[in-house]
Amino acid sequence: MLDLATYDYDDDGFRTCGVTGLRIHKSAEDMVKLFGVTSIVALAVGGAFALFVAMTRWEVIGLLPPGDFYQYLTIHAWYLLIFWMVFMEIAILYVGGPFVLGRRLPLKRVSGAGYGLMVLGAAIITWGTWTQELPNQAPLLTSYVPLKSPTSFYLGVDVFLLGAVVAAVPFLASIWQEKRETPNQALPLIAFGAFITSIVALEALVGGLITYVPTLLWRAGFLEHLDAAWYRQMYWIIGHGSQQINLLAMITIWYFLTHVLGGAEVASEKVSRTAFVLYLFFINLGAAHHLMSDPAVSTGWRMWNTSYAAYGAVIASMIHAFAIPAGLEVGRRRKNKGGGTFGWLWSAPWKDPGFSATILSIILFGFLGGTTGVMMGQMQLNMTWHNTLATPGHFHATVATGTTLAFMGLGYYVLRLVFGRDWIGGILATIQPFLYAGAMGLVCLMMMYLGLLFGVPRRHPSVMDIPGSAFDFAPSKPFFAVFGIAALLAILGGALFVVVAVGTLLFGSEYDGTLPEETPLPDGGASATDGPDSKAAHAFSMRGTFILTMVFFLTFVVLYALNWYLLSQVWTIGP
Amino acid sequence: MPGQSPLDRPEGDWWNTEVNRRETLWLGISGAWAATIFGWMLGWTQVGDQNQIGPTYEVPPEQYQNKVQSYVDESGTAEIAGEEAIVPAGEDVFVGAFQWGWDGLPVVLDAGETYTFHLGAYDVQHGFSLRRESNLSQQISLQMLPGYEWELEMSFDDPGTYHVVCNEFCGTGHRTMHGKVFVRGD
Amino acid sequence: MAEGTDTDATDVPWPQQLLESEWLLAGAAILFFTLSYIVWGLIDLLAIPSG
Repeated sequence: MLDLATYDYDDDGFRTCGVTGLRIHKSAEDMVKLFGVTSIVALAVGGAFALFVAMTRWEVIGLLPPGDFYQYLTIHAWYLLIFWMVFMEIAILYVGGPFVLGRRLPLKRVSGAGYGLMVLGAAIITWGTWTQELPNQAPLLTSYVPLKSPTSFYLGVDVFLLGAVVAAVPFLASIWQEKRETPNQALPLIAFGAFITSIVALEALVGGLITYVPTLLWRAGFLEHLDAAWYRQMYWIIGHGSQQINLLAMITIWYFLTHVLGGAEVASEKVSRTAFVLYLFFINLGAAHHLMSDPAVSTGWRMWNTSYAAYGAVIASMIHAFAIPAGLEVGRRRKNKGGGTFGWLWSAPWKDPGFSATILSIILFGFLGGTTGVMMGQMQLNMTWHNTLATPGHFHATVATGTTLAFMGLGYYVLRLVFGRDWIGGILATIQPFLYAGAMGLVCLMMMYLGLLFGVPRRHPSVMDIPGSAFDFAPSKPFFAVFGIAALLAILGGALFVVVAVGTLLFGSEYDGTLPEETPLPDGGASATDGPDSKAAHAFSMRGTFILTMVFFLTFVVLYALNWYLLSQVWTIGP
Repeated sequence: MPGQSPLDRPEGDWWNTEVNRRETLWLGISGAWAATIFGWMLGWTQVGDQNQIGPTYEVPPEQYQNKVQSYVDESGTAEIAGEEAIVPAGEDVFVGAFQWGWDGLPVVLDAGETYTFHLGAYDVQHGFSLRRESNLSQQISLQMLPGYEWELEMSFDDPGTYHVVCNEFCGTGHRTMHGKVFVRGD
Repeated sequence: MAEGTDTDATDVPWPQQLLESEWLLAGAAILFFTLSYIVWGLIDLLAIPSG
């Protein structure tokens, strides 16, 4: 299947990667290729539809008629928030499990069945949305009951979700086998991260099935009534949970790529693993974020769940925010690439798009995505964010910069190390992450600004022209202009990735399987010796990381204060 | 290489390895920040002026529509800027969202008075998104669900015109839903 | 890529044993989520009075 590789396997079906040292079996590698390439196809489609959506919201262009807007928005959302993400995440599970553990992928046919169901589900969702007619409305991502969408849409969702669950089973089986064979042995950190990712995913996917199977029955006429409040509560298990899969997968990739490309090591197994366990228990509670400005659910439920149990999961995020750069700092200091406070960072391989995409992902996710998620999830602050353009501003920061950049970085190395091809286009690959990150970051800032400071609503094609009213959001026009231009550049940056990826697959020359030698700095860090006297990670300086995280923390505090100040200027609400 | 790779299985007792001093400090900062923001959110319910806390009632959509209609019937009217606005008889203000308009709007209120807003939808989910015309940053959004009536107290210190748009997609006429709340000064 | 050594269960402190019990952790987490998010929310919804 998909024999585009130049690699040979031994009689047992294994090969050893010259760069990572991983022992990789063909069964796993075949499926990583299949799911990985499919996710990039989804990225291309979703990105193309981004053009229509952005150029409609920028009403100077006003590309689509209002009636079509919601359909295009639906396709854009499903292809990027779900298909680009989930297909890649199955590939990531197979890398984090069988690749890292040096195992076969068990139940390969189950994996194939899962893939088939996911593709079938995606096709049905697309067809149902594309051919919809009144009385059906576009489902968008949320398909809020009782607004009716085509019956086929709900069926497609059920098939897709089932497929993803099925595709996750071989990964779980590989972990099961590993633990059974070596019961007193810890998993490598990346495999542990992948395991946590899979459980968070199962919660989300099963929650989605619990939501969408009854919804399908309702739409098809077998269930007379479906409660709107219950639907919202259950929907968001898959709605936000799917995005938490993105978070876990992204962080796992951060550990992986900073290690392979930058020489990062583990700063503390104890701290990183504890953080993953905090995520395991608490991260999906954040589905409650979407119900902050809702009736029905109690204040206690809202505050406990939205805070991920008193911010247990935020502690986890902040731990990884330190641990990952720290691992890079320690690893590079040990290799004499240290040099002062930040030499370890400046000397890193910034021309390598796998590396730069990873670091840009970390920065943008942290500063733009993570902070805003915590803030808008605070019950009262949510009132100023809810259903404004600031909401997509937040999740474009987390998903379109954070997770997407991490997946692009991984994609560059799947091309090199799994497909065995080197990137076409020379400098194009080097600049692509920077172009995309900068432009998309600006898009996010504009959306947040428009939503918070002008109250511009999300999911609206015509805020400058409200039929039957003289009121409009005209003062926000300059920001829409910046948004529009930045969006064009971001889409260009995304298209560039697809072009490089597809071009590499089709025309790339063979990759010889080594990373370029890095030149050590003259006064690089502490001395490192092999053998029993070598320093443990904690003994190396982490002062560079500490400064960076303190800058992040202070930014967080300032943004938090500004948000609460903005809320305090609103009129009096509540008892 | 002696450093621990995230691709390798850690050996022996990895729990009792020392943690870097700065990393430990960061853990403390993270914990303190988590406690701070949790406490702040909780505390604002006691000392802050903006808390979307109010009782919810299960009310079938047709019944809620009747409630709104009764309220409109009992209310006065006033002409503001060429529009006929509802003047509530008491402190209750009913708003009913429907495909595609706002029952109960426009309404005229007095600045500084505390009103009990009743929010509900007649058909599908809608979004009650309210902002002050002369300062668009003064804006909030609340969800309106069919089958539920949400009572929420509100009082407006700043007179002027406030505009309501629907910000939950509710079908083809979604973008046409616009309403007004006039707040009269003293 | 170093092969990990097998450690006796007695050598290893209990927090490490816990963090190496992936299935137990997964089960406990799923149970916690079900109670904290789903069941508690459902109770809230069922407790809403008629208006």
